[in-house]
Amino acid sequence: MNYFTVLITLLRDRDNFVEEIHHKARLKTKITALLISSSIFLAIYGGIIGAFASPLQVFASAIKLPALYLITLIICLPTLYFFNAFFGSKQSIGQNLALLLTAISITAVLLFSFAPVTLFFLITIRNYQFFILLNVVIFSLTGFIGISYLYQIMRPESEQLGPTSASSVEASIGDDFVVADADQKSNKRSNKITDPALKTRTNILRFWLGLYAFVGCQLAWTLRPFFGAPGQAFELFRPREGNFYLSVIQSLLEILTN
Amino acid sequence: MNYFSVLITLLRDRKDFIDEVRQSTRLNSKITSLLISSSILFAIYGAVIGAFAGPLQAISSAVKLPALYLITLIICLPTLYFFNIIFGSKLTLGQHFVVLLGAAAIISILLFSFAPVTLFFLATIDNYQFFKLLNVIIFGITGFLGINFLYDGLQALSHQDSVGQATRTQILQSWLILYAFVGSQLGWTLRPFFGAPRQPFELFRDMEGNFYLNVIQSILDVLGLH
Repeated sequence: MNYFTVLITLLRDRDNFVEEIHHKARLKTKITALLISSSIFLAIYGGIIGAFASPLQVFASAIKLPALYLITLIICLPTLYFFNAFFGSKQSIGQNLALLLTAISITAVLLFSFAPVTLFFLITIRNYQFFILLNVVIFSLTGFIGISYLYQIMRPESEQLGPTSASSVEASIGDDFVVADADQKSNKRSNKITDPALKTRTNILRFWLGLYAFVGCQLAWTLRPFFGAPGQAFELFRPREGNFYLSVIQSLLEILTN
Repeated sequence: MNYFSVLITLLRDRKDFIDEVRQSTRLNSKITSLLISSSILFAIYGAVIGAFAGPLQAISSAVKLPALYLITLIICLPTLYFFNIIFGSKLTLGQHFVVLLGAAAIISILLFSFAPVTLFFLATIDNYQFFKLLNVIIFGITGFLGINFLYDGLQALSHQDSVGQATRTQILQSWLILYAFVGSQLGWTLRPFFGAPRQPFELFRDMEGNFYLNVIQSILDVLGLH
């Protein structure tokens, strides 16, 4: 159960955790622990959304939801690593993986925090379209927070400034600020030299976030069903037709015109 | 009867109560006392509103009203806790639980304080719509005061975690909307609380659809889009 200790450390002091990753402190432990704890939380939430249809769907979704997030991550990781390395990043692939897993763990914890709410609506409202839309809102909100967080921790500036970054960015204590300011000025000078590369890497990060969302939605559609439409027999995977975005629009329309 | 002593302390000196929560003193005993005392007070007020329709409804509402407030609280607690943690709060789950229970307990004691008024109108006016409206106002006032306590309490508790305080206020506001959302659905599921006149006593009415679909369909009906 030590896996959850790492997760709790992450939750309580995220800046410190990210600092440790930048310094490669105990990377392997972090990666394993985050992988396992986020999978468990995602599996629990997957089980709940699968419970809408049948017990078989519970197991299927409990496996598919972690798979969705983690496979998308693995598919997109090389792109991020090689592009960044090409434009000057000094982070190893392990560090990249750890940072991405941090963001996924945050999403997993937030999804888990919504589990009682989803369970409640599962029991009291037996309407498939409503349940789908509720989950679209929950997944969007948690995904958005996870991705904003990822953007913050993976920005090239945060990697370059190093140990002083925490105190200079927060800038709350007077005397610390003076020391950090001097450090920051010297860093800023060297930053200016590599400024175009910095901008490129920020753009790469943004592009990669879009890629991640794109791959993720398509993988979600391929792995469906997660919910299990009522009246349809349990299938491990549905035949490939249509796409994710059309389906969401159709759900909305059905709710409004039913 | 020591359960009520925590409640009285809470009522009289909220600042002291919050200080104790900040230092995590005797959190478990606070949780038990607040749970028990607020359930009893909610049950008493529930019995009063149920009495409008008859003794069976009085008993049924006496069980349903505490269930409504406390179950909604428990369902929504993890969401508030994890979101707060992620945005910088250093409070534990126990501290969150005690503050939320404190708010619920304040609502319960204020409802209890209205009980004689409600009983009086129950006895002298036999009008269902008036009785419902009176209670909407009473629930509104008590809810508002309970929510004020929640805001002040959480802000006072996280006074030193100034980082992210603005975000956490926003989280609290969104969470209140979530609480209202879950609470109204649970209220709809658990109905009836009052017991419409001339309808026989039923423990739960039929689950016709759900609250929100009904509202959306009504709106569409009104707009002529149905």
